[in-house]
Amino acid sequence: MLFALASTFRSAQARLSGYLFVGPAFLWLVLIIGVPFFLSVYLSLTNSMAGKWGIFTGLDNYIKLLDSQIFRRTLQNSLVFTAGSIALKTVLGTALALLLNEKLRARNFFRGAILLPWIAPASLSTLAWLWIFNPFYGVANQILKGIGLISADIPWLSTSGWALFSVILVNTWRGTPFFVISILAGLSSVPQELYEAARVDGANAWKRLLHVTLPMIQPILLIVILFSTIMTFSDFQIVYILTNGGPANSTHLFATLSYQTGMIGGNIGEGAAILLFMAPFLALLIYLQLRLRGREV
Amino acid sequence: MKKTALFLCSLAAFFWVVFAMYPGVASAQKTLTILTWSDYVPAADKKLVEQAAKWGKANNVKVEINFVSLGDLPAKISASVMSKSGPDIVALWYGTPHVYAESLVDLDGVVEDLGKRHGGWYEIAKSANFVKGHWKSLPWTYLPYTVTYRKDLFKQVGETQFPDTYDDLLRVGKKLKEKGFPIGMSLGHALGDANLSYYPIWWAFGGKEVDKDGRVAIDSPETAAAVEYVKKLYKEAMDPTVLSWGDPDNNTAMLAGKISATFTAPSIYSASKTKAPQFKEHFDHALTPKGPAGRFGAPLVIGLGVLNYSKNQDTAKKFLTWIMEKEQLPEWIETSDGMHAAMLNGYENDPFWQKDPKHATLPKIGPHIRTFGYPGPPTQKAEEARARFILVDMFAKAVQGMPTKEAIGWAASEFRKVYNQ
Repeated sequence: MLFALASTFRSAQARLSGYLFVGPAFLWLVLIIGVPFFLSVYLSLTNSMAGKWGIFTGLDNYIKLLDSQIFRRTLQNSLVFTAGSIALKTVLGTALALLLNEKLRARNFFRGAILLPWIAPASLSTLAWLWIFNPFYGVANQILKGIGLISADIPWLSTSGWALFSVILVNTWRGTPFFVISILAGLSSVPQELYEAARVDGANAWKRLLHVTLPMIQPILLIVILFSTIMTFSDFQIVYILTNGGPANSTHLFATLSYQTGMIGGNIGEGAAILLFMAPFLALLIYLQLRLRGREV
Repeated sequence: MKKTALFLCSLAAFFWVVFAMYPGVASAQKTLTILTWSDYVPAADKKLVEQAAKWGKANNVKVEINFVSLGDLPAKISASVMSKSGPDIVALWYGTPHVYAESLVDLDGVVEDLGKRHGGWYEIAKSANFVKGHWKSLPWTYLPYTVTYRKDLFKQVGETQFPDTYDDLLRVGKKLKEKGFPIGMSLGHALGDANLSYYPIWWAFGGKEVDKDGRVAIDSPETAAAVEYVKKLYKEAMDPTVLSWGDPDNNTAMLAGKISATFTAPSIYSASKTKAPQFKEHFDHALTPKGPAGRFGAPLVIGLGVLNYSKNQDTAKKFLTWIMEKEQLPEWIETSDGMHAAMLNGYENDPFWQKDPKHATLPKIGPHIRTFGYPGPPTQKAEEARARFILVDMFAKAVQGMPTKEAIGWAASEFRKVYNQ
């Protein structure tokens, strides 16, 4: 009996040790992520203004937002921006990864160089794009006119359609390297025997891509798409620097509209509500990502 | 021995960290911290630091000034106010003393004393900084937001001076655009220039944000007249890329010789002395034109407020009084090269404004300045509507093809949401 007690005590101690080791990190996470999140939820349910804690108003902020054309336009922009950027990044990223997987001269150099847009500080690289798109001396129009592709300047940031395209373009430029590197890692784990077997069966390059390569990299591709969707949906600096949501709110995303409403306009409650509209969508994406990772393991 | 030495070193390091983090423990010198914007004229910031150091030395106070970009200032002030920690004094743009009124210390003694000794305050000083019976911030300065234009280009189309009415501006602007030198004011989400250019145009046509009962009153024939005017101005006289302009872009366009006139603070003429000396002689300033309802100027006013969590409130008040005295303020204004002016009547005829003939017009905009929310007071709601660019986007939608009535209807709906009506 004494032996049984000692054994119970040792196993309880072992379990407790685990919690004690994880405890401080968990507490830290609760403090820096949990507390701000729940505070944001509370603020979104109040009429708090800058410098003034408000009273509980329930879902008033959310109802008001759904009635606002600016918010509805922001929702539309966010969906178009995310879908457009992800589609472009997936196609470009896969194509570049396939290319860099071939035996090319200076392949390692190109593999390193492809990372530059991703590792450059986002604000600085976006400022560079602002100069590239400048209506008076931007190189984009000068080069395109110089090679005869256009005869009149493209209004990169001056019209609603082109402005949204431009922010998608910059996001794609910035995010494609992440797709390339991740897919490249996936490609390196595809067994060569599958390609040889396919060749023996008479499959050409296109059929090998469709029936061997893409199915084999599908798990990593899905995870990369999900992760990138989360980052793209919550983007801030590209729009803030290039257009600040203009012209006429045609490029506003949730993060920029929230900043404008809460930080500049002083309506903290509504600013928090705008951000929290993203939460269910992002939570679903994170859940899907975790499910996919679990299945992979 | 080794363990003892290690222990003593750790103890020394601990106390060093404590004293480094809490300078008040180590010395009796106070620290006064100020958060303000990075001036468009860097020499003005340098002069402010110099003056603050001089005052600090005489009063055994260390004055730390943090300069941040204009875009970052509201977020930093909001964060300080909500967390009740941060700088002692903050620079408050436009009518934001009304937004943060409950977090600001009353400065009645400081402001009224300065007013008595220096000829009284402009009306705009009171509109922006006086909230519910108290001076909530010191009316530090305003930036004369007027017109900068190229005299030589206007001469090419037969004009010897800048048009004094908006109708004339349209007529002349059309001729300039035909010659390849359009005018331009941002219709994008430029943090400062967009609202500062179009609110005065709207007011000049009789546009009102609220009526005497505080109800949103933007949907009016006067607003429709303003929208129709801006549509014509955009199509016939402006550079079409104004829809993408941020704050630096009108400056860049003028200094590059791409446009002939813009509404702006006088930073372009100042910058031309080093960045575009070939145009320096051709630049001049003019008042913003008159419309059917009069002439209006943009509320580019800055107040200095003391936050109520500050433990240095008396020290802050002494500093604020000192920087407004005649030994300090005119010197700072001169260093700013016309970028700043005082809202005190006693400084209106300062010799600085006559030194350079191109500066003579600038202080004359003072009496025409109104705050956002006009004719109502500059409330938090007015500031919120300004921050959301509702008025600017109304014009932007109209110039991109939305019918005038629909654009005004959209703006009125958004204004009413902000005002909870």
